[in-house]
Amino acid sequence: MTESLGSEERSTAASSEAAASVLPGGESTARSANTLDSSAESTDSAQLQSSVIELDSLCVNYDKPVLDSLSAEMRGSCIGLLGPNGAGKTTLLNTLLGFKRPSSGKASILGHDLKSGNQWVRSMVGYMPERDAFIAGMTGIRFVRMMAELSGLSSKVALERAHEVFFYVGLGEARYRNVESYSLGMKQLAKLAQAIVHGPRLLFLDEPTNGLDPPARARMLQLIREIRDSGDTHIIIASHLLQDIESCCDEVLVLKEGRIAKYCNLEEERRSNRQFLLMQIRGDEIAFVEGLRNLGCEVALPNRRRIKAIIPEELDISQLYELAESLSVQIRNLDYKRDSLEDIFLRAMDAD
Amino acid sequence: MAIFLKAYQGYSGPVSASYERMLVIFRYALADVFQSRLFIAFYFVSLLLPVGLMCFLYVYHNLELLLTFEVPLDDLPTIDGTFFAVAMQIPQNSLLLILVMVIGPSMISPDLRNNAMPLYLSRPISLSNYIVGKLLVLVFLGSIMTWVPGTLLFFLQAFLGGEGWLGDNLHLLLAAAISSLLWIICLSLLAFAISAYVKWKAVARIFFFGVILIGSILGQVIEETFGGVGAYIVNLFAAQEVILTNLYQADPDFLGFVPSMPIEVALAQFFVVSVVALILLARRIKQYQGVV
Repeated sequence: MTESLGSEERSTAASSEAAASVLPGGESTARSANTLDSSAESTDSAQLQSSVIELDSLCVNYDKPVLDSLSAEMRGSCIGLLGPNGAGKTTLLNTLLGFKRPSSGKASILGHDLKSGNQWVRSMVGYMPERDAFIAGMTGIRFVRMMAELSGLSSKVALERAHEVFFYVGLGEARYRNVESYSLGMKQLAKLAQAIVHGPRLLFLDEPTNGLDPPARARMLQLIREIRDSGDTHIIIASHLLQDIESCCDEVLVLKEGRIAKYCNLEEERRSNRQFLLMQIRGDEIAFVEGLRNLGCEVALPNRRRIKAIIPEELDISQLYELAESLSVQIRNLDYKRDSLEDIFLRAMDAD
Repeated sequence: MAIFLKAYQGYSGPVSASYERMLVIFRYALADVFQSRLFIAFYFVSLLLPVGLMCFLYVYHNLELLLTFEVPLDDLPTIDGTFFAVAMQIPQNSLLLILVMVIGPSMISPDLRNNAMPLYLSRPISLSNYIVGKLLVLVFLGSIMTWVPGTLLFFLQAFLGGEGWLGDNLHLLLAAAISSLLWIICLSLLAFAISAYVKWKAVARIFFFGVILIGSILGQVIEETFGGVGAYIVNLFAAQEVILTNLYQADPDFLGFVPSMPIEVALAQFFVVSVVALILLARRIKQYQGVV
């Protein structure tokens, strides 16, 4: 049904050149090798499978330590960055974008050290800031085209992709309007457009749904998921909205007071607690609990008539009903509980 | 396939070299400047003097025309360094001051006001690329106003003036280029630095003019109170006069008051002002580059 964003530009470029190109480099690999790290080409195809961001005892100090010895290897296709105010999210973003230098330790993006390969890294990332950010006096299309050219695209390709990306984010009809005249939601989409116009391998989104009404928010999240599912781009989302993170991300990094409080794969984290059940019963509670234990469950009784059970992997829920039937116990309520991101986040905040 | 049915896909084509990305900033900023009709009119007017001087040189070397218009030949000026400095360089430098005052503050302050720095600097361009890209706009426009027509005028005079004139006045080429570029770069960086701190264009323009004017007035006050050359170190106009007099080997009497300051001091003055402005500008931009 759909066709790739870059199809037209590829048809206008020499086909052999386009076919040969794997990275921003393709046709003019030798030329770009002067400015961008040529080793990128060999490592790049493997990057989607290997680590996206690697932090190795990363410390950033202002007057006091803001990031304290962060170590993590992030591999997810969409990674949520969470933490309360002052936890260090902004500083981490600043550092990864090359705006702040680490005091010690190192960070690498897509296998390239930030210190030595800063220019290469910047050519590979897209960034959507939280606050209003645009270039005054420009139409949307000119703004995005300029951003694409600054990322290294030729003028012609930049124009083509700017048009395409504007339609892609749903601003096609407004692309000739001045950016200053856009509504808040349109500005958010324009910021997303400039962040993805050059087809980055890593996309930083800082509070992407800030100030959006529910339909616009849903649209933005849908776009993020589409970009994620394209497989071409890894995404880092910093947001206070846990629902947004939960709906898009497969991994989360929770920061607390400049340290990593939790880094986990959401699905694995949920899976580890998927057998967690809360039951309310009427009947012989003691016999039912005993029966559960005989089935291999860990059982706790937080209060009267409520049973909390962690059931083993191999146990099917239907066996519980069979047990209840055999003991003439009524299961009045059964809550199949999965850990939400909020649970994970709150647990990380509570942990020392 | 309709454009709106396309899905997202990464880019895998060629990328430009670093200097080309710097020229993107220059190209877009230059185009923005020419969106103002008022500026286009001003720029057109600023080029009238060089054109007029070319016409003058043509008439100057055309005896028939001079006799037709009964121009007294003894009253005609000698075409030398003094002529180039007084008739061409000083008026064009004054227009350049207005040019920088008008467009200098609109180059960087809107980017800071609209949080555009993270957008620029998260891309593969450096802070110096950004500043040089913007500076090139003023260097380009200023050059077309000053040393480029000066050079054309020089070659026209060399052509019309005979063989000996070119050899005797070759230093004028260097004088035009150096004095113009010094003035352009120093004023531009000063305007950028001021606009980076003031943000509002109109206020930045007033501040810019104020800094130049106050420096000049302060220099005169210090000179009158304490005497000595040191007073002129804060006066950019005095430094400019010294440089023009020396490089053009011009007669100081025609340039107005020229302080007896060594050219090295005047050059150092331009250098120091430029470096200080650059440092202040870079510091300010760095404050805006991060995520807030």
